[in-house]
Amino acid sequence: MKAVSPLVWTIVGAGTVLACSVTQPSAELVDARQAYLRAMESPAAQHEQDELLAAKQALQKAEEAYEGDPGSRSEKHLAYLAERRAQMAEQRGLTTAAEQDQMKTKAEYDALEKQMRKQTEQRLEKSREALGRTTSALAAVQAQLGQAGGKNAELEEKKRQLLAEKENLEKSLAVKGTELEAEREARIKAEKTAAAALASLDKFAQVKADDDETIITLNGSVLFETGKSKLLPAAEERLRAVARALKQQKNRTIQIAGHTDSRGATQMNEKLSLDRAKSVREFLVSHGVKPGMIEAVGRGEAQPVAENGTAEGRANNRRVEIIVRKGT
Amino acid sequence: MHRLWSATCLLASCGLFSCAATVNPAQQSAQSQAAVRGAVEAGAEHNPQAALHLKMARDQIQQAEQFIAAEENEAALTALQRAEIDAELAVSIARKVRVEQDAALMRSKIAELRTEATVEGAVQ
Repeated sequence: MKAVSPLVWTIVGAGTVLACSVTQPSAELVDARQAYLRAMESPAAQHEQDELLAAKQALQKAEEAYEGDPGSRSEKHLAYLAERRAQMAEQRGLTTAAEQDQMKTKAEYDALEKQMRKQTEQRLEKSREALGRTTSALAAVQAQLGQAGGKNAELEEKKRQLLAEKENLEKSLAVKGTELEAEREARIKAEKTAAAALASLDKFAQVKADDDETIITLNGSVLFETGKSKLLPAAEERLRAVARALKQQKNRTIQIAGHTDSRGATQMNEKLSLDRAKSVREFLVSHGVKPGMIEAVGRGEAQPVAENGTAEGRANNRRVEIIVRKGT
Repeated sequence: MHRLWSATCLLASCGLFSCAATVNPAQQSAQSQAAVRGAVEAGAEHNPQAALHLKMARDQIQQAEQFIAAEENEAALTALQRAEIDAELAVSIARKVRVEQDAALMRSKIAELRTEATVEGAVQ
C-alpha cells in the first residue's frame, strides 16, 4: 500500500486540474480493446476459442487495473500484454483457416489430376475404337476383293487407304499410350521440384507466390554494405540457394529489381539500386542461371513497402526482389 | 466497493511489486530470449510484420538489460514480459505466413493443371 500512495496522490493531483483525462483509458488499453474486437471478428472465433478466451481474460485483467487505478503502469502493461494476446489469437485463427484452405486446395488438385488422367484414358479408348472400326472395314474390303477375284482397282485403292489409316491409328495409339503418360509424370515431378525449390527459399528470404508469379524478397542489409553494390560474403550462401532454385524453373522470366530507402539523392539511389541488382544478376548467372532469362533493373526509392520515417521501415525498403514470371 | 478496492490494491501491488519475488529478471530474461530464438527459427525475420515484433522483442530485451544494470528490477521485468509476448506473436505470424504460402503454391499448381487441360482439350 505504501508504494501505491504516491501514485494515488499523483492521480488525485492531476484529477483536480484535468478531471476528465484521469478517467480516460490509456492508449494501450484502447488498442487492446480494438485488437480483441478484431480477433472476435476473425476466423479465431470459429477455430481458436481457447486462444480467444485467453485474450479475453488478459483484457479483463487490464480493464480491472484501469478501473482500480486508471493511468497506472500496471494498466498499461497489462493492456500491452492483452493486445498481443488478442493479436496472437487472430493470427492463429488465420493459420487454422489457411491450413483448411490448403487441405481443400490439395483435394481440388488431386481431383483435377484424377480427372485429367481419366480424360487421357477416354481418349485412348476412343482411338482404340477407331482402330477397331478400321480393322473391320479392312476385313470387309478384303472379303469383297476375294469375291471379285482380286481385280477391282477401286477396291484395291480402298484397301490401300484403309491399311494406311490403320497404320496411322496404331502409331498414334502407341504414342498416346506411352508418351502421354510419361510426359505427364515427368511434368508433375518437375513441377513439384520447382515449386518446392522456390518454397524452400523462405528460410532465407520472404517468398510470395501468386498464380503466375513468385516474388523472392531479400533484405538489402544482408546483401550489401551501406552505399555499396559489392555483395557481402554472408549474402553468398543465400544467393547460392536462390540460384539453385532458379535453375530448376523452366519457361520463366526472372527480373532482379533493386530498391533503396528514401535517404540520399534520387539519382544516386537509382544508380545504386541498379548496380546492386546487377551484382545479384551476375552472381546468379555465374552460378548457372541462364543469362537470357534474367534481367536487372533499378527501382531506386520509388516503390517503398514500408514507412521511410522509421529505421525499421527504411530497412525493409532496402531490398532486392527476384520476380519469377511465367512465359518466355 | 470495498472488495473492488482491495482487489485493485492486490492487483496493482502484484503487477508492480510482489511478483518480483516469484519471477526474477534472470529467469524471465532466459524465457524471453528463448522466445526470440523460437521466432527466428520460425522464420520471423523474413516477413515484415513478424520481423517488426521480433525487433520489438529484441529492443525490449536490450532495454531490460539497462534496467537490470541500474537495478530497476520492476521495469526490467515489465520489458522482458513484453519481449516474450512480442516474440510469441512473431512466431504466430511467421507460421501463418508459411501456411498461406503453401496454400498459394498449391493454387498456382492447380492453375497450371487447368491451363494444360484446356490446351490438351483444344488439341483434341
